[in-house]
Amino acid sequence: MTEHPLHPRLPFDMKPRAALAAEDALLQQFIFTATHEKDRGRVRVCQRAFGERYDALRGLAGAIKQHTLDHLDSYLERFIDRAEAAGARVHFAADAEQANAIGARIAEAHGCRLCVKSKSMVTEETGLVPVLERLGVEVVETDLGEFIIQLDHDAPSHIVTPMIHKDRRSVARAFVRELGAEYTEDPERLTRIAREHMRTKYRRADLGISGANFLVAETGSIVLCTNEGNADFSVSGPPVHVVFAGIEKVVPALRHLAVFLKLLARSATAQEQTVYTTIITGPRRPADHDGPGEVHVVLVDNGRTEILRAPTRELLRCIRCGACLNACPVYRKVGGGHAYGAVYSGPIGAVITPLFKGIENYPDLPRASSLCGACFEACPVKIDLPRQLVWLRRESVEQKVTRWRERLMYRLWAATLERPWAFGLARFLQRWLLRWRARSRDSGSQGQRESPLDPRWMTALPGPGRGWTECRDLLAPPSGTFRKWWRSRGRGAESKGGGP
Amino acid sequence: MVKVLEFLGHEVVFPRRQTCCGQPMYNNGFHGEARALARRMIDVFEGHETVVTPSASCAAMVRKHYAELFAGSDTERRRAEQLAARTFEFVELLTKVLEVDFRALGARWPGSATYHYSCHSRDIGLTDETIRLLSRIDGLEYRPLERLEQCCGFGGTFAINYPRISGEIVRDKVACIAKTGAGTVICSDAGCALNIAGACHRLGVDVAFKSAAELLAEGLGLLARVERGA
Amino acid sequence: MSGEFSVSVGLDRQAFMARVRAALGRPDSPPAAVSPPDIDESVARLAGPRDDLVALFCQRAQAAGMVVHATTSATLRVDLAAALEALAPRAACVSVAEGSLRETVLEGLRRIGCGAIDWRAKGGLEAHYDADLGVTDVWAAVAESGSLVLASDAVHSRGTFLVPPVHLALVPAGAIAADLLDLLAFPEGRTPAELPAAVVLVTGPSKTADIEGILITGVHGPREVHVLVIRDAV
Repeated sequence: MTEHPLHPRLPFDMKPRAALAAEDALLQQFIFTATHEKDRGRVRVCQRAFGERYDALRGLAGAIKQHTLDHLDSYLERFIDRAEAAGARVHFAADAEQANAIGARIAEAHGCRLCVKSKSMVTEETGLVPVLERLGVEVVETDLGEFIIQLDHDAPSHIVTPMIHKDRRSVARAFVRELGAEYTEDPERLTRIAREHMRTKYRRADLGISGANFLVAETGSIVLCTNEGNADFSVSGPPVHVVFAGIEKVVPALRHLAVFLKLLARSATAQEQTVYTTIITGPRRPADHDGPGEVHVVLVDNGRTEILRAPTRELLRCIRCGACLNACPVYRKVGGGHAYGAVYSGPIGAVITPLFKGIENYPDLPRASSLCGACFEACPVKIDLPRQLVWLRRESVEQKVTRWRERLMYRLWAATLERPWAFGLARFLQRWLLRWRARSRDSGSQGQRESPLDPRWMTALPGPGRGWTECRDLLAPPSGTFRKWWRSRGRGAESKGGGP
Repeated sequence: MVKVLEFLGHEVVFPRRQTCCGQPMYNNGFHGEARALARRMIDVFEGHETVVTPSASCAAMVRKHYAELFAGSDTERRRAEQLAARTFEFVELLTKVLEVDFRALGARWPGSATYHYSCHSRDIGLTDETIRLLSRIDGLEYRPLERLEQCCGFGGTFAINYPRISGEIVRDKVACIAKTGAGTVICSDAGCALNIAGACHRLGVDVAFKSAAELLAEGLGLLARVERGA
Repeated sequence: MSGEFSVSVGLDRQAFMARVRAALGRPDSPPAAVSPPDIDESVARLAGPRDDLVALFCQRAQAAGMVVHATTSATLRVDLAAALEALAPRAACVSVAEGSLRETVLEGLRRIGCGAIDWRAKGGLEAHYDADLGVTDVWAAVAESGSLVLASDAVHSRGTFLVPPVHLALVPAGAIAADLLDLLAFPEGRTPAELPAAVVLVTGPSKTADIEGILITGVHGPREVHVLVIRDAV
């Protein structure tokens, strides 16, 4: 693929990437195992910890985040005041370009040469790394998965487990090629190689960059959650720490943070807690012997204030746990995140990407869903993702992103359904056509059995039916119908049925 | 469904002017059209005590989305909420409203069956009601389905617009069904049944499809048992 | 530190907040004083003061992959010596507050001939790369999740629980909070600057499952975390 997986040419067409993934059995197996096991694990650990209260706790977490968003101005002001009171510097970026420029300016001002960076979706979104690299700053991704992806010039395919699409052999090859390591496929030894390599970087780095899982308004703290400890290395060693955080990350107080910490790791990876949950409040204190002397917090809008408007506001509750990706049958089948052509994938990506980048640029994302609701059920903050997908489909219709033929079809269909006589006629025609088609030879029907009870199958339909018969057959309607049977009982239109 | 309800001593009426709840229009973003159809439904079912449908999908549309469609008008929203409050899926009505004691009914249906949990059951808060019902039918051997919670990939026009993705999803479902070795799949949502049965036929998995209502009617001797498949 | 330079890129605070207010539909009104929502503890609380906090903490910490031993003040010296002997470190870093606990640790290390690195003299975190053991007390612990809570200050480095391959933590029973809700109750009237610059909850050894979902411990941080709970200490 010549184009960047997450920054494709627009408008983006999902189908070719999905089709490619469908043919890769190994990829399918990887992604299925990883997502299905995590999803079942989430249910298991949440049931064990919360039991009957699981649903109520999700409701509580959603309500806290919704309240915070409804008063985001107040909570952001409070966060800024408190963060500054603790000694942090707060910066404001309207868009990706400004966010990157702030990062670049801080790096330049300190003459930074080597940056250790922990995983951050927002910097992925703004494209910070190449901007710093152009300034001559070496940037090392420190999350193991992100590091491997960086070495391999690949792109993350899952919010939480970014290299869900790669196997150990590709890691082995990358380590030989880029680090001069000896070839090994043993995950234990591969991890050791990364550990030693990364330690040389941590010790020399003069800039640490992180995202934030949460911002706490009450104390001006930023909260980082990792399993590897890479964020702690990244933000404890270097003299300067720059945090990039979307404005939606704020929670009112530390005690509210407790609620989210109970849900985040369980939802993300079926763990009780992430191994390291780090609450940073300003730079090192005068008596401290380590920690950065400067902490900068870059608050990033980059399209979030658009989503903050009423109908889509609930989407900003998202705590990026990835549970909706793991639960989603579509995510599992399209080969993971790359099929979404953007930084955010899965159900949450299918909704926020069109909002960030325009529905006309991502017409497939809201449509490529069966609206099964598994994502809604998995979401720890109860974002009604199916409802948001439908809302986007409505926008597609209203903005005429939906093609005119389709719009005409639905309007005719609805007009038919509003008129019982037309509905009756349409039912008759449809039944007649399908039954005729099933009998005719060019339907490809195998017609194995001839009894009147035997259903007749169509294996190849023309026109809009082609999509259906591409992967399944269609049963022709039976000769009798419920309405006929009801009439045959001969008791009139609105008549009562008798007892047994 | 009619026969079972009548067997239980209830009076059943079928208002012939009914057409469709409007879910296809709603799901695809044609909310003006969906609203008009919802208005029809509310009129057609006005004055009926309880509304029952074999399909969780239709029940979910009425229950979950009607009120939202009439957010602009208090009177209409109230009527929508009233319809939603008395609309039930068939198994839901039997188990949660009528609290029928299935063992006492003496339904007998010898054979093996598995159950497809449709996604819209989730929307109306159903979990294992149908499975529990199956376990109370004499002679029925229930075979649990792996990945019960995973969608069959139907999703209305999704199945036609994204056949590759939808096809891969339903292939999983068929594989899980084949693994149970059950002769019959209990599937009350017509959309799912059309999809899964079509894929079973394509992939050569010979199995019969029945709704929970059909199964009960057969088990109670109200309907001649139809056999196809294994 | 060059904290005085100004970053003139990006928006200023007023312009930025105006965008937020506009999106909320109140472009002109100053933010109202809001009180955050209450937390329904019957929903959120997983552990209470009436639980056996030591038992719960030990069980959860073990489940999280830490090696847990329980002891008492009377047997601490012996149990600590046994633990240190088993670990057989060559050089250790110690982040334990001044007092008898610290003395006990230093004495235990002396007895097995292990040097204690004076990390305070050697630039904090950096000195820890030479250690094969980090010994800490805790700022607090959490029974609900089995977490150790570590905080940075003059005698506690951010490196001691992070950099050496093995971490040994000493947990007085009195430091164990029942629930995260108890740990994270920030007292009214405190200022952010009164909080430690870094408070870290550690729940298990450093781990990853990035390569084919296979669990590996000791990625960046320690591969082993040993916990000695002192049942009768506050």
